[in-house]
Amino acid sequence: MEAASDEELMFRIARGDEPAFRVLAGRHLPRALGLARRVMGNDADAEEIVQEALLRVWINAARWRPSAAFRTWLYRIVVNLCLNRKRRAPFAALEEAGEPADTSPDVLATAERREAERLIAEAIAALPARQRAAIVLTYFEGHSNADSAAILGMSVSGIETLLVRARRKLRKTLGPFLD
Amino acid sequence: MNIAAFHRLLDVHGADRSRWPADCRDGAERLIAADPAAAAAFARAQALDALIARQLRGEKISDAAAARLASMLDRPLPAQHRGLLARWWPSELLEVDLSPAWPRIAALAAVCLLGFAIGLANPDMTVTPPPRFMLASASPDSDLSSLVFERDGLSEFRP
Repeated sequence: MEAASDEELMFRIARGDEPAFRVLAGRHLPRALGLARRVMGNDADAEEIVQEALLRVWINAARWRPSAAFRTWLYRIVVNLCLNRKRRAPFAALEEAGEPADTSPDVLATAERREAERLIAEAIAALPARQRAAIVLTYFEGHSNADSAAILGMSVSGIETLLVRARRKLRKTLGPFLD
Repeated sequence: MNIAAFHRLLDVHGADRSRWPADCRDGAERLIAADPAAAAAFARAQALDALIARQLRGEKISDAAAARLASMLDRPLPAQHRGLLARWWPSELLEVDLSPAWPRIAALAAVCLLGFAIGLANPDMTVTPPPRFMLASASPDSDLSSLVFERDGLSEFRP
């Protein structure tokens, strides 16, 4: 069963095959969790969203039609759940938690590096949810603009507009780090 | 390709040459080689791409979160939706999360139901007579303009 394609597993899951669901979920869980984590900015929300997305796949498996790749469909559910949750709750910054004191000899250089990383994380976190989702799909998942458009349920020109705005905003915010 | 088009290319596709459309690639490469401003813009776009990628790929997923999700899969799963309605419902709609909209949908349905009930409860309503210009439009020799404009007694006079 491990070698079966996603589509074959989905046909089995539609007939109530629990082991097939566990194989499929285990196959996509890490990437889906990574995607949700990067869009949401925290583990707790990401975990709940991926759990809900996987349960939707299981419960509604009989409705699934292989019109698109399973991974695209799953990511679309995950991203939509992320965007819905974003509408309801403000974003929690990634780097809110404090860090232990650095005892290495090059404390100043390490502190500067961490400060730079914090600013970059904040700049990405400050993007509107859909722009951040587009950036995550492009840079973390390596999706083409067409694939990202399919996942976000919009046209290619729509995703390009999101990317243009996000890149311009990040370039403006992160200007000192680009020279 | 001019410098404005090149900036647009970098904004849309980033600095990764493999993501550029094939018909733009040669022109962009020539511009980078010939124009220092284009080369500088390309270098900044590369730096931005590297910062974003390093930040996103460097974030580690909590092992505990992954473990909790994996353990969830071992628990008994809920019942699946089956039957004709489940098969008819388009799979695309599974991606739509209506839960935040339910109160508004319920309010809209309630208002529609109230309007329907009021309509049923008052069947003998007085019909307001149509305005004058509507009466004019009803005449046999009326034209389209008479639907919109009121007739002028002098200009419309016919012997």
